[in-house]
Amino acid sequence: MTPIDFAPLIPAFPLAAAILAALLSGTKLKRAAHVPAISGVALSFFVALFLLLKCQWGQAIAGGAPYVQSTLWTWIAAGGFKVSAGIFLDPLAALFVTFVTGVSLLIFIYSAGYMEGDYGYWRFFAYMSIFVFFMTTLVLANNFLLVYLGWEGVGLASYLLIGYYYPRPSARDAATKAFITNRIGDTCFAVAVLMLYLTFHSLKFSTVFYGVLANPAFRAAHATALFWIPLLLMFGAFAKSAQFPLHVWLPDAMEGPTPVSALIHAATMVTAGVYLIARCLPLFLYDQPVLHLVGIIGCFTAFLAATIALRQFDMKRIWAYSTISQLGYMFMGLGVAAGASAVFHVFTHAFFKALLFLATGSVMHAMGGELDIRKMSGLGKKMPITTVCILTGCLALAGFPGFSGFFSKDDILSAAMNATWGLGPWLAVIGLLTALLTAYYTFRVFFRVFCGELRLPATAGQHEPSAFTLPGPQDGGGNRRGDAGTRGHGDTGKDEGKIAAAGYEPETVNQTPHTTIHKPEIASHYPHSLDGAPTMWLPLILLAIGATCAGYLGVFGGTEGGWIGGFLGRVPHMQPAVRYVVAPAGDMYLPAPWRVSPSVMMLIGAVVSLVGIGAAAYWHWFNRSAADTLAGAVRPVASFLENKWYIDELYRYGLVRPLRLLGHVLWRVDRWVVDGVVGVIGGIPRWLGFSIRSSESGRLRSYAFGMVTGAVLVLLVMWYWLR
Amino acid sequence: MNLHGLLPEMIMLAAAAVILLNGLCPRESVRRASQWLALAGLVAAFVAAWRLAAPGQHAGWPLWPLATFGSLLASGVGLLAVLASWNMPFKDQPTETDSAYRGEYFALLLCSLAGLSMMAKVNNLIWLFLALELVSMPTYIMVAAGRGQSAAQEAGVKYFFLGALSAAVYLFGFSYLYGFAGSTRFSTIAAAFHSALALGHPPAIALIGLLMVVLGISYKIAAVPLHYYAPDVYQGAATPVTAFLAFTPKAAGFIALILVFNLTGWQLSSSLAGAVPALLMALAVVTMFVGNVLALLQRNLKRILAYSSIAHSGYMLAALALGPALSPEATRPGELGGSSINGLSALLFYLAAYSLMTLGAFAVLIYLEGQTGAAEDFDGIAGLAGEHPLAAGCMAVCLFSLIGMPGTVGFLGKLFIVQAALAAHHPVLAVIIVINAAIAATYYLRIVAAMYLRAAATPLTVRRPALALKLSAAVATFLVIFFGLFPGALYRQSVAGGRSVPTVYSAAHWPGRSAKRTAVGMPGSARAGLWAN
Amino acid sequence: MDRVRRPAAGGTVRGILGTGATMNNWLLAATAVGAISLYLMLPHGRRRMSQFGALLGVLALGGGFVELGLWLSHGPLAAAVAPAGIFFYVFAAIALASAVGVVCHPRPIYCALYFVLVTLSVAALLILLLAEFMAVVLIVIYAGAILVTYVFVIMLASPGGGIPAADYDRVSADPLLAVLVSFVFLGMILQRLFGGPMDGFMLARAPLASGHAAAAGSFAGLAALGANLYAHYALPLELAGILLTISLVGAVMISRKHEPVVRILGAADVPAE
Repeated sequence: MTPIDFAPLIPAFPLAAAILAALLSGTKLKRAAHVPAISGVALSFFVALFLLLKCQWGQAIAGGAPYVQSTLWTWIAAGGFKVSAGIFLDPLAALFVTFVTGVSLLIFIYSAGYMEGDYGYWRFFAYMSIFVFFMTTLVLANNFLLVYLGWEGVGLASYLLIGYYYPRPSARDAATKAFITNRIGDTCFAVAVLMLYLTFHSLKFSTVFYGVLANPAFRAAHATALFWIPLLLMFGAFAKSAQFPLHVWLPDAMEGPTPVSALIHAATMVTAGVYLIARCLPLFLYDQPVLHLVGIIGCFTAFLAATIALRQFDMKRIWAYSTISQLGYMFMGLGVAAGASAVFHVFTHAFFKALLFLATGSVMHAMGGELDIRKMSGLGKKMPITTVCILTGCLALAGFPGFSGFFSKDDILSAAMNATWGLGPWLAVIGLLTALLTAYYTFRVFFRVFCGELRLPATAGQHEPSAFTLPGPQDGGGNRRGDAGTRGHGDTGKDEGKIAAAGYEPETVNQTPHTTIHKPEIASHYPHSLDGAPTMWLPLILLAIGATCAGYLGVFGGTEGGWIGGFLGRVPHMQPAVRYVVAPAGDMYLPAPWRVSPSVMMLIGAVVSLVGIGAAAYWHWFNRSAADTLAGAVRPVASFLENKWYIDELYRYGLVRPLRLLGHVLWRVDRWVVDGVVGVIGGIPRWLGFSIRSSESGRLRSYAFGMVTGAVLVLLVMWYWLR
Repeated sequence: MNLHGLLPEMIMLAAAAVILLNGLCPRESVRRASQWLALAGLVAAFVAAWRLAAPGQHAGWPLWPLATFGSLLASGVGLLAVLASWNMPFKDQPTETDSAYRGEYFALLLCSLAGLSMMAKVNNLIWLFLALELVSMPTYIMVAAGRGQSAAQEAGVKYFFLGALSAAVYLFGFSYLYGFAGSTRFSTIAAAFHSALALGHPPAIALIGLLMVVLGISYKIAAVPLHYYAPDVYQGAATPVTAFLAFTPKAAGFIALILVFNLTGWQLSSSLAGAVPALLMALAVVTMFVGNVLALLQRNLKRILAYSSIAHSGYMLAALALGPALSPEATRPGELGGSSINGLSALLFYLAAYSLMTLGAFAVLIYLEGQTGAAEDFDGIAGLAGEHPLAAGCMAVCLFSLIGMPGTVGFLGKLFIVQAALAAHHPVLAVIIVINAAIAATYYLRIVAAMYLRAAATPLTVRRPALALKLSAAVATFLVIFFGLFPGALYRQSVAGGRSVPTVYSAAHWPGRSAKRTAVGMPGSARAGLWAN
Repeated sequence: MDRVRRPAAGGTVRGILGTGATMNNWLLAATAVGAISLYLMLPHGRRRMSQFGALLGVLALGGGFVELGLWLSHGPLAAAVAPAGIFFYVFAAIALASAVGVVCHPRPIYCALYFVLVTLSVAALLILLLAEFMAVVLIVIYAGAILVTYVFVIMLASPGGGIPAADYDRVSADPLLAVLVSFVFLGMILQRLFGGPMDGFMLARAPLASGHAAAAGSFAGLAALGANLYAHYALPLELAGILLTISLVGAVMISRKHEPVVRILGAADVPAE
């Protein structure tokens, strides 16, 4: 057996786990649903790790081909159209699948503690496992149709998980929003797949990427298709990865339980878009306008999301915008053909974003579902482990020198700075500005929540009220028997309309007296640490180690781009991109000279990060009142940012309302005109039925008579026919 | 073909004999082994059929793929049918601990399946008649004795008498065919048809015989105009028997029809006999409409499924009418639109698909009878999703498949028929099939809606149904989805079966008897349309 | 291809009763008259017109036979039909008349006896065709076994003497439609078989001739039949055996005496497992 023969096990384990967890639903083992789920992902992770190591040592990837693939079975065979399900494994897929399963494993372990006692415990783990199954399918697929299956599956799983607390209207709305936004991208992707088949007569990666594509004559013959395919793929990726203008679903997606947010933001969902474009980079490299568009939109999204994050107050929402922003970096990296750098950033981002979300989950757990950064302060003393972990995550996100985000982000920025494309340096400059904002808003959260005097919201220490307060079957042992569910996990506690009316909100909320608990009372209220169960903080520590150290894989262990660069460099189009750019003639990989050396970029990056952190420390730790003064001074800007550039409103008034109006008009037409016609048409079968119903009298004699008469009628018809 | 080719049938009949004897044992615990024996027999038969289906077996027998398809279908779906009727027959009285007829019931079931299994292996009108009756005769008894209730007796009487009438009709046709050819052998009849067609048109006696046979066998498939019995019999019979009725006689009837038309060499469009395929198509359309339209008015689930079974016969008749000719486009490689499936392959695929989905739906009904009393109307299944989500899920999947939703095997079945119709340049037929699918969706969705959207009318009392019953519903549902997503194995078998039917007469297609008269060379290009040439 | 003979005369064979009318028209007319007569003879319960109907029936039968006989004596099958001679018509007439009796008689027991007559006359026709085995078997099975059962059933089920027969025996249901449908069918078959250029008998091989050959010796036909049955039709024979066994089992299953228990299906029985 070659290593690749084990690859199908990676999706198989989570699938089996999902089925097992679902089967447990009816049994007394309902509470043990995490056991199959965690074991499934763990096994997948070990298989993935095994494959990764095998790949690196060049056993799986032998000889000239930069990939190995295997066909499992023929999936669809309809005439000449034949698609088989199979595995395509190259360093890109191996790296992706490893960190996806690895980070998922930690999230799963965390969830076991976090979701304990929840009404839909088994359902949660079944969905989570199916999520990982689809994601690994997507990454390991050897053809576009199978990728599409995973793609849709990931969308479905995210829909189910975002709407996990379905009794809450906001959760349902968020799930629907995510699903619909994703459908736009899915449709684009589907059209791209069809066009790929029509162009290449195959959907296999090996045929599409390593076949006729290199032939200039072929490219000239299919220039139109080769323009539209990347463009459509780009929109598909943008919907899944929440890039402007399809980013609106991600901030709402935190309606799901916090581990779901972690999974979506770090491991499974949003990275799919990056993976898709990284995988299809050869198509993009031959179609530079679209590639550049990817870079420009990525850069813009990074900036946009970072500015919005400046003026949000809900911790999870801030992290959500930071995800959008970081994804923007990744697409910027892809846009300057720096595939390896982008994937490197995905890799490090997975660690620190999962860490941030899970740690936030711990905060939420301890604060009884409250996440407003204005209502809490000085938690560092009560939650030491969480604080250290979240500090690591923040440092990584802010690009503090020595932490993982620092290296990966600088990799992208220096790639952009050195791109042969003229706009590249400008993107790098905006990227640096964004990095400044990132450092600021990240530490705004940290300093506000974990530093300063201790202040806790009124709900602290309570269990969040369950969303499942439906009358009917209660699961008895659950400890979430709160009042009617007004707030639960991930309840943002914000009403969009209200903010719009108020203009902007002050940074410091005047707490009503009973919500503020001062030091003397705390000891009696909360004698123990608020860090939560070991299953919750242990994954945090592991992720913190990852967030700290993952960056060094991109520095050491290889000549250029570190171990990661060298590893991914085995894939032709993933070679460290700064030095290899597309030549117009079509020869893909030409060395280009350095413009600004990476070490200089690194220095600039470090300075920018430190400045951002320093600013945050001043306004949000030492002199918090100054922040309000500042916000008041730039009131319109603050309001603009708080309302997220009014993009939701733009959608509402520019798209949703007109569509609704149109819908209303059409409904009227439908009601009066079409329904009338349909009523008549639909009535025909019923009328027919009534008219021939009398033939079914129930009497044997009439049946026999009817049969004979029918037969004779048929013969009679034939008699005249045959003449 | 030597006796080895009949191995699956011999196994089934032997198992039936053993079960029959076993059922005579006065000890109840021994009688309870009947189902297990039936299962074992069918598994053995399936294995035998599978081995016979391997390429190279009975290479001289051109219809062999069709024959093995029949055997595989009979033993495979038969397994599910045995699981679904695990508790059959219902006891006459509550005081009885076990029905006295357990052995007889399963023996009859196996005999009927054996008839279906050998259907495509016959080469003689007499044999064909006996095989058809071997399928039907046990079902008459099963209907009448399935449950000790007057409704079942009535259904049994109706089914038997009308069945006898239909048998008389097709026997009349057989006698004319014999009178025409002077032999009951298929080879001789085919040669006679061939020479008659070569001279211009077949004589009236042959055409009348052919038509009578088609009309008589249309009773077995519950097609118009011999469909009247279906709703009453389906409703009156015990539900496991209904499930069995929905599939076995139908499959046998369609295979028999293929064999009968094969006698004509599918060469009926050259002369005035060209009306025969057109007639089939007309019957198909009428059957679809009658089934679907009358199903709309029903409130009893078993009657709905009975009418739906009539409608599905219509779809399959349409596929039969398209015949074995492949469209010329089919040979063009790499085209998405090119259909590589002929009407008969589509028919066989649909037959298997229909068997699975209808068995699944009936299995859920049986489960509910065990659970809640006779769940025969909408009220009986209202709110099912809340109390038995898995049962409701299985039912919903099977109903979606009957509608033809993508992702289920029913979708592929309809797709292949429509594809074959389009490839044969019968767009109107394709459109009619789609319209009928839309009408059918109405009543199937009403069932789904009752299960999922309504609250339970009466509290569903919970009892303990047999594990085998749950298994049959689950397996049927699983297969509906599995073959919907991975149709490969089923598709291959059906295409092999459908393509094995020759589109052009040749003496070589009729082994077993020396075809002394060599056929006059017919111009035999496989052309799409109303049965080439 | 000598088996497929075209009729020597070709075209229509003209009957004697008209110069312009073709044979099949006369046969159709006879069928129509027969239909009317049967309708009149069917028990209506109200007014009896069966005498008039019977008269019409005799006319129709006679006319049809004359036409048929003339036609057959000229046709390609003349040689095959000739040996039967007048007996064919006699027995055919008996068969048809008693068949009418089966349908029309208001007392079931007489219907059964008429059916015996039908069977016997058909057996006689078979003997004329030298299929003596078939004839014997027909009598043994139908007249012997089945009819006896029928008579027993009827005697046991019918009320004692003096009580008038039930409505469904005295009045036939939908006589008009029934007659219409059956005679349309009959007319169609006749039209297809005898109308036009004698297509109906353009047989691939004349079965009558083979019958002669098989039955050359007195019981040689029977021996050949047996040999054939066990040599070439062993499997169908086995199948027939299985079929009969099944019927037997079914008869036992259905006819066993049930204690009358009124119950609703599924309400009372808990499945064993």
